[in-house]
Amino acid sequence: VQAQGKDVRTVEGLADGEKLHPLQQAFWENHGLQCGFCTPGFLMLAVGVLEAEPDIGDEELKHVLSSNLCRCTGYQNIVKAVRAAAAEMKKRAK
Amino acid sequence: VKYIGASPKRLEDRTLLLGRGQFAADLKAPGQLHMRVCRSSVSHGKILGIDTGEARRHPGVVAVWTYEDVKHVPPIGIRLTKVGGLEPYQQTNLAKDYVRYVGDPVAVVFAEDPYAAEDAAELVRLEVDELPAKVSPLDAPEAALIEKSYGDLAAAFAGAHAVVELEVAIGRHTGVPMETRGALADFDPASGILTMRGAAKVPHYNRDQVARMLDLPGDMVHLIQGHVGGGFGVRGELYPEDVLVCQAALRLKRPVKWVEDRFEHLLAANHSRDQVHRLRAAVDARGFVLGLEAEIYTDQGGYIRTHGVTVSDLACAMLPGPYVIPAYRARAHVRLTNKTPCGTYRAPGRYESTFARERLMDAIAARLKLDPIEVRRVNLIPPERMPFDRGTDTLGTHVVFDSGNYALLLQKLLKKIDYESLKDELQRRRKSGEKVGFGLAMFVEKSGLGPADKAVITLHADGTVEIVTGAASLGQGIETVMAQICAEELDLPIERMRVVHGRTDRIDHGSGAFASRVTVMTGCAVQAAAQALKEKLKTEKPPVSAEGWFRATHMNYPYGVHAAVVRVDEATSGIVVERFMVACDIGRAVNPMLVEGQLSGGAVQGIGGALLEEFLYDEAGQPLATTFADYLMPTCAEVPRIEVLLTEDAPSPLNPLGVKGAGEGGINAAGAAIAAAVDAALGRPGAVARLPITPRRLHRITLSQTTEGKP
Repeated sequence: VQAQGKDVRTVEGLADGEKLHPLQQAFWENHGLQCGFCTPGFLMLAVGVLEAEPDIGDEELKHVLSSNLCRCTGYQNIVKAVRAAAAEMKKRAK
Repeated sequence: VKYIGASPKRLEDRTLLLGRGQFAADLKAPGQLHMRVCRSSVSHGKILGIDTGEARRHPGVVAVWTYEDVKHVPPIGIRLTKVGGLEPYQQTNLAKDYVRYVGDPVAVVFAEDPYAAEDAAELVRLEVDELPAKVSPLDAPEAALIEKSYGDLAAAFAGAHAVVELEVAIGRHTGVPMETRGALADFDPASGILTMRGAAKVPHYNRDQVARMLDLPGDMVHLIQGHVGGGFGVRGELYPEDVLVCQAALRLKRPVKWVEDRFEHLLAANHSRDQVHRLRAAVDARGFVLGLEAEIYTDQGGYIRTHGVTVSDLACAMLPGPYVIPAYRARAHVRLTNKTPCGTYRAPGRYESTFARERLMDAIAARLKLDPIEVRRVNLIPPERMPFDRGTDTLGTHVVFDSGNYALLLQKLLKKIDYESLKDELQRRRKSGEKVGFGLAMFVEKSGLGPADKAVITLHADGTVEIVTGAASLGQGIETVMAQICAEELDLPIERMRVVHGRTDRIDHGSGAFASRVTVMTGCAVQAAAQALKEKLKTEKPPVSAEGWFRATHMNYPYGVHAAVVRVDEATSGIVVERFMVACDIGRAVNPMLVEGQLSGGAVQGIGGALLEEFLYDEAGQPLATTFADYLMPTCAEVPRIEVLLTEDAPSPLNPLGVKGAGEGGINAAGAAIAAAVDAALGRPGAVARLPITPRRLHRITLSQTTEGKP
């Protein structure tokens, strides 16, 4: 089992109780989801990369986000939301 | 406060963002069984025998069914088409005597857990006498011939300055929602009610079908939708698997759950597109089309499913698009092959016919050495001719364009992108050796299909508002939009509103969500109910309920322009879409943010269909695209920023809100615009005659250019 003995974070643990994580908030404000099926995957992908690389560039971010598929949004607002969340997360980290 | 025209955050989102969505796979019922479908691995053959013995003996297996067990259940009916005579081609719920495509269900296994069901399904032995496969619509048997015509075609050709002919083809695509299909059926002996969860798109219609097929009274069957992970025309049609879980819940007296995997989805859910268009146009010296003749060949696959021949019908009805074209005849040949059966996919019949028509416009321009945009201008229906009788019919309605100023939208788009300087810039880049090009395509969409929608709104004593609709959600944001329309009338915040949809147990009438109809039809029913409620509140105290209806005998017609800038890399035969623009007029946008979301999402699907997506088959009818490694869809790395120009110049006179649908304008002309841009980049008008323009096809195009150039 690959994840044996490892911590696993899922979307259910992303918010602080009922208070949305900045990424969740940014997806909400930027219309980063339609049907919502791919959303947990994109949220967890993005939170991982933004925590590891808060200053990630646009091209690099697109490259990372291209590992997940979305069929509704055309990715436009997903990228926008992750960018907005990155700024907010950096602000909070200060 | 104005709610219509504002872009509030969606009511739907919190639950989904918190990971609390309830999709089909999340459904559970105590004691549930799991269904697994055994599918044919042969594309065409006579069934000699199905040995289920070993599967039955597998631990955990409760039952294994073949056609013999379901033969008393009639096939799923055909909706939305007037074309008759299709019954012989319907699909039985499990294959009878013959298999007709790879993926055709031949048996089902019911077991205590999904693993046992899947393992046992592999033990079912199907013995088939293989027959030759039909894999091209050009030499396959014809299930239906559709013909639509108007005007004097002979006179048009007799007086022609030139005749332009063209053959183009559009690949086999489908919607591919991120959530695969799934359902949970449960029969309650106490009430006698059969409930199927996991419904989508058209729950009321499907409720009636399930009741008819299983011989139950309509009010003893409930279809209920939870969250639905995308639809695009594919999800929520009634499929054999839906009927099988319902039948099993009744007969096995336990809840039955079914969730397909992606491999099954790509084999079993409806395919779409896959048409060949042969066009012949009589034109005058300005490029004005005097008459147009079209022969269309649709690769329908192995059976006729719920959509009948709707896609081909729509292609014939909508092919003339935004142009005057005074004489027209289209004939669509719906041909049966040994491939997955077809249904609709976002902008069905229009993605295809727009590609053909707009390729024709470019071909006319090339032939007469005119500017492609100028040729379009010459042909556009002028605003003073609105409403414009298109002279065709489809979906039981006469096609009459209700409103529109096509030339104005074209002008606005060219201004927005600063077309003159863009042209200069591309010219400069081409001179320096880059293969870049600009292409543009125009279209008319259709939306707001009737006949009727109902809504019931209740203002509760605690100040909350419940809006019960017969619509369905596929993720498009209908809760927010219905709440905005209601809020506009009642002047209450949308956060106080709860929108019910996709539940046959909550409202007796519903038409669901397809054909870009919800904002128009359900939206106007909600407006009517809210107005009735406001009236009642003058004399009554909450809780107060009111009902509203909206009826329509005609569809309405959004329209738009797509434009693309592409760069071709001849060394790799790769195509980069540098810019993509969608201009669309939908009369009135209830929520511009959601409309832009629809248009952008559609555009990216359209780019996928233009460059990447295709179900190919070999000569034996074996599918070559059965995973996401073969059926390529755009990721965020392949798509540019989608530049959207949303206009409200032509409100629909057919409904009190003035709205038209926004679901399909984003995808409609994407293939056509990209093809034109690739032509321009290569400097070879008419080079692209087939979608998708895969690297292999582009390579072939550039190769033919090199050899042509040599003595």
